[in-house]
Amino acid sequence: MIRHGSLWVGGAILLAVAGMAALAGVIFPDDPFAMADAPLLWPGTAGLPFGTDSLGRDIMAGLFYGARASLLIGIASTAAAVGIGILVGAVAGYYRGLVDDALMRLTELFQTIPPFMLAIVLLVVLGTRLTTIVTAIALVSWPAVARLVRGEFLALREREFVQSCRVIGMSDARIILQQILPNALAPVIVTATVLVATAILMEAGLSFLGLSDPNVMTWGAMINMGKDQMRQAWYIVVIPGCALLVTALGLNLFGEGLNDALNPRLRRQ
Amino acid sequence: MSGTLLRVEGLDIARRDDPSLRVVRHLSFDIARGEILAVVGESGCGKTVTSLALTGLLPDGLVVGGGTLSFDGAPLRPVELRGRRIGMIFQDPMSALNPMFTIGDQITEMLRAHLGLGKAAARARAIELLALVRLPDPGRIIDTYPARLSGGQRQRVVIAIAIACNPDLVIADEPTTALDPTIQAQIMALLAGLRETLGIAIMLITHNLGLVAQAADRVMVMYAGRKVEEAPVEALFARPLHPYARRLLAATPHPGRTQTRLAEIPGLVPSVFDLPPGCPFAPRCDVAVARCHASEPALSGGAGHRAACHLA
Amino acid sequence: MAVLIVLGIAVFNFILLHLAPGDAADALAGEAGAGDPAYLAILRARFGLDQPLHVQLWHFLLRLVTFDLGFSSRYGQSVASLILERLPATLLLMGTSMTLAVAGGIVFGVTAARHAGRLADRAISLVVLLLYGTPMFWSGLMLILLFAVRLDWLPAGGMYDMRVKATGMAHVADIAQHLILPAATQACFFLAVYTRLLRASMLEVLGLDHIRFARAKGMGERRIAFVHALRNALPPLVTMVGMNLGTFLGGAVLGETVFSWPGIGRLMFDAVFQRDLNLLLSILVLSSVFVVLANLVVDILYAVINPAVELR
Repeated sequence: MIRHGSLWVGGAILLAVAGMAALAGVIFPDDPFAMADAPLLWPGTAGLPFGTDSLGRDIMAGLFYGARASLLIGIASTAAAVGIGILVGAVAGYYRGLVDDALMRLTELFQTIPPFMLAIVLLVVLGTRLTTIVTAIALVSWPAVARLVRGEFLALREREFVQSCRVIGMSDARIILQQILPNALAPVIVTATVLVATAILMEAGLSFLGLSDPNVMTWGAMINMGKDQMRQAWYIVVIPGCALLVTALGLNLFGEGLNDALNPRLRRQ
Repeated sequence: MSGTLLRVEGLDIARRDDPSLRVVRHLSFDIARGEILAVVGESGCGKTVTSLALTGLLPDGLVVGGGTLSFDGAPLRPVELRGRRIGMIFQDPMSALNPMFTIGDQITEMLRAHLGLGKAAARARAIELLALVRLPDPGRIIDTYPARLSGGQRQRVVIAIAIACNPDLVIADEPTTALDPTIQAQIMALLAGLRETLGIAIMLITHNLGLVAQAADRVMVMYAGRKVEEAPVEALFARPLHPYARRLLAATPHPGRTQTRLAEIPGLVPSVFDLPPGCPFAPRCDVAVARCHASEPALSGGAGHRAACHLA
Repeated sequence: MAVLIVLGIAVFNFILLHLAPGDAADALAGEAGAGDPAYLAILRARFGLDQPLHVQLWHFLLRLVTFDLGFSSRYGQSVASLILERLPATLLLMGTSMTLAVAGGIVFGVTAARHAGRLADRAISLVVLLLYGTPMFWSGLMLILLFAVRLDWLPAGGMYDMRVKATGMAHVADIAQHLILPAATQACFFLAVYTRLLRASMLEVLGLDHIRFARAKGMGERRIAFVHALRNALPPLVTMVGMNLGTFLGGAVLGETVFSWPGIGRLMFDAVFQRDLNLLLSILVLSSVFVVLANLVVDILYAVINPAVELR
């Protein structure tokens, strides 16, 4: 009961954030970087529910556009990471032997470099655009997926239905994609949900350090810009931070709920 | 060697969420000082649960629903007695010991907590105990971890822990089931010897009637959460009154006699939450009459030998 | 193995260096436009950038082995000495926050597991869930807002008060005061991770036979939880702490930036700000070495807490 509650609450939060992202351009047709009113207006004044920042930009608009950036970056980078992870993990787990050894060394190598640091360096090298940010986050996130998928494949490849596919001469690609992968997908989906949260928080951290696309409004960048006015106008920092917190919370709840729903072993407890 | 040590009267053990669902129903028995009482029956009959109730170790879902328990003339307080005056031996010696601590740690922590011994005194006593359960080279074994010991050796350690504080009663729940047959006999001989030398009473829970014949003074047969027969061990083996006890005996290999096919008892122990009307054994009983399916028989018979059967 | 990984990372870094816009000389000089042509020519000659790639790689690795990480023009100091100078501050912050996180994680994790499903567990789980979703840099800002800006109890940043040159104990107290907020910020996040992890592994251990046996021995509940069960539940926590120690430098960038803590993380932020790629890569190599070292420490710790594991 409680568990299923977390699925619904998490889902509702995600729906709300997705709604904000979708409606950003409709409700706020103006550029979120444009000056909307006088700078440092407190929330509630001049008809702006969340006030303005030090450059007079509407914080409410920033919040909506930030939702768009967060979800976009979170989902795109996770999709890419899951893609790489499945490819590496499936090949390593299915073929085993030397291929497995080589791929796992590579995975280990990537896991040895602190992910946030690697993302920073990648962005400094590649420059900060939306695409490079997605690339950098994907490049540091895939090893976890690869390990997970490899483990599932190692277990599933020995199962009877896979063996019989091999006997009737089905091609490796078909066995991997049509037979094993669908059975290995449940834990991957759960991990992906949590990875989206991690990616969003990582993007916020990078933005906070100034490593964001200068043309995209993000929550992390809003916090970065507001941190020097914290003494006079703390709301500039608090509001986008709460948005981040709620979004990450929603994703974690949703992931936890999914895990319970998809994983019968845990559900029995 | 006389006087009642443990008295159980009308013990009910029920589910916490629904007290009407009872796994042990109105169970009464005594254990005298220095006596070995065997509790026999198939698994699911309530033997283990009864022993856990006596030591306050019932799993979360079960509670004592009623009955009076007394120990040495006073109300039984499991949490105060366990480890001190009631020792326990579990079935699987492989999992009873904590793999992260040395044998010595696991014995001395008790001695220090219950008897207030100092470090050196506790260690000396632990070595003494290991020698008492006839482990070779106790001075070395005390510093090893359980993983280094065989199953039989570990069960000896478990016994040493159970008797560490000179308890009056040891509850041994299937103490030999997980062991090799040759080791089984050694462990039983050890337990019987401890009763002789230390005067410890033992509640021996088992489904192996061979062990019972070898060591016990009295036998209590349980079926579906109830006591169905109780007798001195010779009387039970000579003239079992309850058909269930007869079937259990028939299912036991006799030493000396050539192994013919063991008479299996057909059917399963009914779920205690879904008992048939009348005698719970009636559906599996080959001598049951109409009355058996209608009303549950009460315990009857002489002082020493009683059974719950309409036909006894 | 460890050497191989460090070597792999070095090669990887070399590749990154060559992916960067402009050649390594530009990168080494800092921002591309900043170096004047004469300086760039000197650099090119010094690092042999006119030579073929594999020769360059060889030289790069040679320099790494001799800890010659190059020169930071921004700081007018060699990168190696710059890093060494900043390392103690980071290690102090890391030690303090990880100690807090582990201690808190143990207390909360064990408490939650002991009261699983009840109020204390739910309250702890809720807090953990919130901490999980809170970006570390933001919670740091919130702590500054509350304790430095609003209440004015603690300093908002830095490692010591620049205005008063304290010495001796006063200096230690000064640093301790500055340490509280950044350490608490980093600790909170890891505390959530450890609480969650320990709760899960404690729940698993508390259901084991030897825990029931410890109860039968008459041990107190608190001792059973914090001594018997905790020791068995510790290995996953040790693994996680080791991983976090290894990658701590990565997270430290945010924490140290928020609190202007003069450690490696802050140095890295400055390097990012100034696009000092050489300094960045040096820190990256260093932190990878850190990860490898942390893994070694975990292996040793494993052997210490778990007698079944033996060091080869």
